[in-house]
Amino acid sequence: MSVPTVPPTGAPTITRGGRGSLIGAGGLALVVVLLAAVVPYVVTLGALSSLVMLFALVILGTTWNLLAGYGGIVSVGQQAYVGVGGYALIQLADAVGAPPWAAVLAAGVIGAAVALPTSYLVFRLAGGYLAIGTWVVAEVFRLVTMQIDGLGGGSGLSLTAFRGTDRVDRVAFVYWFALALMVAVVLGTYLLMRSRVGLGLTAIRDDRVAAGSLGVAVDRGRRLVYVAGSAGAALAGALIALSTLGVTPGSIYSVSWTAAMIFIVVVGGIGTIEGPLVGAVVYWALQQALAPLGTWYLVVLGVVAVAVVLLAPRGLWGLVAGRFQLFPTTYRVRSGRI
Amino acid sequence: MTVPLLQVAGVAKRFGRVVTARDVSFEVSAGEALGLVGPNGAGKTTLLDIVAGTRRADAGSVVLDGQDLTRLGAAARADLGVARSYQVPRPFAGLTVYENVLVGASFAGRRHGGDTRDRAWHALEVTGLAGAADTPSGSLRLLDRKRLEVARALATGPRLLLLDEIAGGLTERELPQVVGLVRRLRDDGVAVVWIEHVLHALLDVVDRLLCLAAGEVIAQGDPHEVIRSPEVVEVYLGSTVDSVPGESA
Ligand SMILES: Nc1ncnc2c1ncn2[C@@H]1O[C@H](COP(=O)(O)OP(=O)(O)OP(=O)(O)O)[C@@H](O)[C@H]1O
Ligand SMILES: [Mg+2]
Repeated sequence: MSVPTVPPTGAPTITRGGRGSLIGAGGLALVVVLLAAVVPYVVTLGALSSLVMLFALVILGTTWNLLAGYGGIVSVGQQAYVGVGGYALIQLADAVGAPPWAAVLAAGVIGAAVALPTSYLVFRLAGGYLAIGTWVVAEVFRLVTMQIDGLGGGSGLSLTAFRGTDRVDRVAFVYWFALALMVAVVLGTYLLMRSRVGLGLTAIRDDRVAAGSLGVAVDRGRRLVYVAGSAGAALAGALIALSTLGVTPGSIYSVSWTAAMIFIVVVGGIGTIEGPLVGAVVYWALQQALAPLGTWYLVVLGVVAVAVVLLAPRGLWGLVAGRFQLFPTTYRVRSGRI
Repeated sequence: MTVPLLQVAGVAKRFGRVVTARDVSFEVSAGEALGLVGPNGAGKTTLLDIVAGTRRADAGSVVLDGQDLTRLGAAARADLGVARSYQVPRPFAGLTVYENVLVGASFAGRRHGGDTRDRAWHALEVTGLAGAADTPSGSLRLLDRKRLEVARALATGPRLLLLDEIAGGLTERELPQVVGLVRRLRDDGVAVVWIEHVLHALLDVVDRLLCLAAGEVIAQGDPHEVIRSPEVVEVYLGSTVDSVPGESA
């Protein structure tokens, strides 16, 4: 071709995700439709409840990834917000009388409201101290919860709002609601990371000082990530309480929630939207398959985590991420000249 | 006379017992390039940090276009048109070259309006990085990392550009490109402060020269006069710069 229409500067074409991403997203949408419209009618109620746990794990992993993978904030105390969410749900649904769906959403808001002042404390610490500090904060939350009158002390609370509701109706409602919430959290995280704000957050993660020099409001960005990630943990905590019909301080504030988040993100692939989805499925499947083994299942989880870290340092999704993205956040440049 | 774009007055800074700035004052106008020289450890980078807001001075003030920046952080200064490169490059290693530059274009550069992507691309073109747009910045070699530092700063569309040793290691063919770039920016009305050990490149373009030694301004003014002044010659004798002043003229 000899038509000289190429602009002199070789203005590039910038793409974000190609046909592969579209096909992948279509596949994912199909999975969601199946989960919503087919699965509830073909599996047992017990299986539905266990899928609710999978959805909660996806939310937990996604929000921990937001913190560590995009904000560079390695918290081992996110169980603080799982706990706040669980207790908030039961108080709002039982004491206040809010409808369960509204109580879950409000629990997320309460998680954010608690995280905002806490961030000023946590952000005084750096690196390993921040990790330890967040854990201490979570312990304090648990101890304070046990001291507050009306929160059931050491034995926790049971959810009574569903009394009188048919079991099938209840499980179906919780299932669909959890599915919708999971989709909203993952999509919301994706849209955030694809936006200008997401680019700034990634810059903060990679080099805070350089990000500041380019005009990225570093403190505000980190705070946003911490508050949003904690709100997500509170949503998940509320779902868990809704599904299991109660909380105890020992279980809802358990550090094993954060351990699960870390497993999910590290095994799935940190710093990608897809990684926590993969990681959550792996974690959940192992939990299902190994439940009869008792505590041995923890050993197997550990072995799997170590094996993945050694063999695929960027997680399972990291093995394909270079070639293909379901949730494309990166930019590809094609120069107009060539 | 118009008011200088940048006015630095009475800046002082020490790290424990090491004094890196003692009553440092200088000015740069729009469309002017100031060269900053001095032996290793003189306090040049620290001074740049103080102007850019990544480090706070113990005393003194930094004023841009009549506005006192002294209490503002780096991001706020970037939003007002201050951009800098780092002597030891700080790429966003998880991002591609293009994405690195896009950060500058879409944050501090946003105040210009217009198309962010065009500004990012333009910055890559003038720094010769366009061909590496999709390369992960973590895998760039040192020289390209330095180029990326400059490209990111340019993408913000600065009024004041602070450059920290961008010419070291360049070949004799590449040097004129850097000099040409600085000259073009200056002629477009950008105020430039350029720290450089490659003196002949610096002397090709700067309007004035400031020599710092042990945190003190020992000479400031016409580049060729500064470089020949006895104080500067003495400081430079036996130092590690590539060319001893006087030989380079
Ligand atoms: N964070 C810090 N803590 C303690 N001392 C520091 C710190 N940063 C710089 N210094 C010291 O301040 C002095 C000036 O450092 P600076 O980096 O500003 O010098 P420079 O003129 O840029 O040198 P070079 O030409 O080698 O880049 C040096 O003695 C250095 O060791
Ligand atoms: Mg230096």
